Amino acid sequence: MQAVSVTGLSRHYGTTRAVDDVSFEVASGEIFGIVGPDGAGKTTLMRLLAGIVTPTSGGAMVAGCDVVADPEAVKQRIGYLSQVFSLYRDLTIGENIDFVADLYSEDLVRAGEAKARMLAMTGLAPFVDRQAGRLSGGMKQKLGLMCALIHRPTVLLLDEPTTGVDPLSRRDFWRILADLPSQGVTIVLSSPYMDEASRCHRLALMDHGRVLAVGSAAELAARVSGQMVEVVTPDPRGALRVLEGLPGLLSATPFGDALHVRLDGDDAVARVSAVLAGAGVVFSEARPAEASLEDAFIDLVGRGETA
Amino acid sequence: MRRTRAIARKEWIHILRDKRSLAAVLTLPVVLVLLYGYAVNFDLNALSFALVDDDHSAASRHLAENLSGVRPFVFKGTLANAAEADSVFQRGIARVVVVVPAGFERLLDSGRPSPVQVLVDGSEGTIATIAQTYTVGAISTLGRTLTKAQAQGRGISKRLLEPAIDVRVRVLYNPDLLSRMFLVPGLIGIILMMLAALLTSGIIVRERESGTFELLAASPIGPMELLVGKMLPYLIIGAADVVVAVGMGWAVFGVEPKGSLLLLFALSLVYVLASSAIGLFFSCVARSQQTAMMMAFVATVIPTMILSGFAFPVRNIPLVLQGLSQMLPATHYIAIARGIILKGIGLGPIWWHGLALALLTVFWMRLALRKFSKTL
Repeated sequence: MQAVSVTGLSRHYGTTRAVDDVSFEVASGEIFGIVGPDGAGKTTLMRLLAGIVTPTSGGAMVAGCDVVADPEAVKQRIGYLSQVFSLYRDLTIGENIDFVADLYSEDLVRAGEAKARMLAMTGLAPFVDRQAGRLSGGMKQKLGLMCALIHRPTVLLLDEPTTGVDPLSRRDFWRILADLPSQGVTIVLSSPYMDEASRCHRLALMDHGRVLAVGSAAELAARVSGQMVEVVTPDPRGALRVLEGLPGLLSATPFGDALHVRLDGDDAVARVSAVLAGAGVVFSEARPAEASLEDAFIDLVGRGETA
Repeated sequence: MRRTRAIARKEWIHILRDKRSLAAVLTLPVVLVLLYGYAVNFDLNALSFALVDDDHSAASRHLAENLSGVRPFVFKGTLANAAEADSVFQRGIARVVVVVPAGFERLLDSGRPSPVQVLVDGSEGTIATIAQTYTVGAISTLGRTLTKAQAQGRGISKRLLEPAIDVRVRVLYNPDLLSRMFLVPGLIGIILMMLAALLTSGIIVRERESGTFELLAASPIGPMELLVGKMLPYLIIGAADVVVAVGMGWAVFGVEPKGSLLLLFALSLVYVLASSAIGLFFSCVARSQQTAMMMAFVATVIPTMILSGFAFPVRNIPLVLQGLSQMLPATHYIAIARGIILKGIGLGPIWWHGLALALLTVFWMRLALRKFSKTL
């Protein structure tokens, strides 16, 4: 059974197409990532799925309910964590959780148990009487996650849950998320980070309101056109300048202390080595490489622009 | 029910933790009652007058001296001629100039009516009317005593000079005709409306501004549950303000409610509810707290000052605007408050004002619900 099923979903603001004819499906128990740069339309898409923004056209089924025809039924079944902190800063952690449990009419006993368990799991138990406004970014997001989970939703929508969160808290956060699919929770999350995307079972790459491709990280990388060459050089900027003149060049991007070069045609390694040597650029190695998710994204965006 | 209670409890925590706002909300009625109560005053406490004496007689001096002795007249001096009255009025030295023409004493002695001219500064209408009434009244009384004295001198029976009909006025409800008795109940109405409407004008739009509306929008809470839950705590604040405002009017200005305190309190609550509903409507419509507050202010306080009967009787308003004034909760509440506080009446003569307040509450709540949307 599909937990989320999106068909031709669009939301326009004037002439801006924030979300433009988007379709994809998410299977039950999946962790599904929506990845794209700022302004790609991720937040609008998440809000459409949460039933708090009305689509211009198209529709979506979330947790078995229609977001257009019956958004209130969707709301009872989903947990939603917005990008902007949307809990009350002058309420304590405990008060915020209790308030949200009341909002969803969650059974008091069960909510109490869930609260105690999650407080222990997130390490927030000692801060239960601290006002939410005085929490760190990471603690705020953990509190948000607890509130989104208190009524045991079947679908969890997380809009950039780890943006602005320190690496340690981010690791904790993902540890909690990783356990949820086994409890029957489907997670749809958005992120601007490619490294985070690789933790998702499947992904949708999004740019300018459109979904460019859907698949697992490996599938998406495999779809990258051309051959990848990794150049290890102490002078990546010099190498980049030389390579820009290379015929058949699809993309060349710095990648850590190396350069990822994507070329159309065969013998990519030989051609890259030749042109770099010819121009006198020092490089220690040029070897065939696996395309990363970032390469896939750059490839797809490039194709989208030319199309 | 549980959601409504949760919203109300949460809102109550916001109120209690925001100590400064809470203090402001409770001290504002005190400050406003004092401010308005002392500043808005139609009573004439000192009536300054000047004299133009063209007669230079014992009688004209007698007139001026006697007038000075009557409260609230204050003698400011004698002018050379009537033309100087203009400059006296322009400089605000006197409100009234009494002109005693040459031959005043002679006419008086001959037993014929003797004219006296009274010039009044009419630039402040209300005060001018009162000044005119006082001056004419004072001079007429003086005239009668003079006539009696003359009559006695000529041996005419005083009884013949008594008027055939003796009018004796007794003013009920406000025996001294103090304007504060009339103003304080209206003032309570204006203050309650201002506080209730302005406070509730923030409650929905504030959540939109702080981002917390997204949590509510994505939750299964119903619009009615949310709006009612949000209003409940402000009803408690409103009730406290009712006690403070009525108590201030009583303690400071001696305006003691003559009727049932319980009835006054109950109807005041309905009034607070109606005013809150107006604020709530603008909170659902506006996209920023400032806009909401501005809209609520323009829609409540401004028309209320003019059209509610606070200062001017509703009956004097053009018919078209009278319809509008019936749409203002304050019009009904001021009638209720004056009735209970000054006249001590029961529900009988004012029940329909109470009903009107209830209907206005329903009207604005429905409008707010229609405008409310659980989308961003």
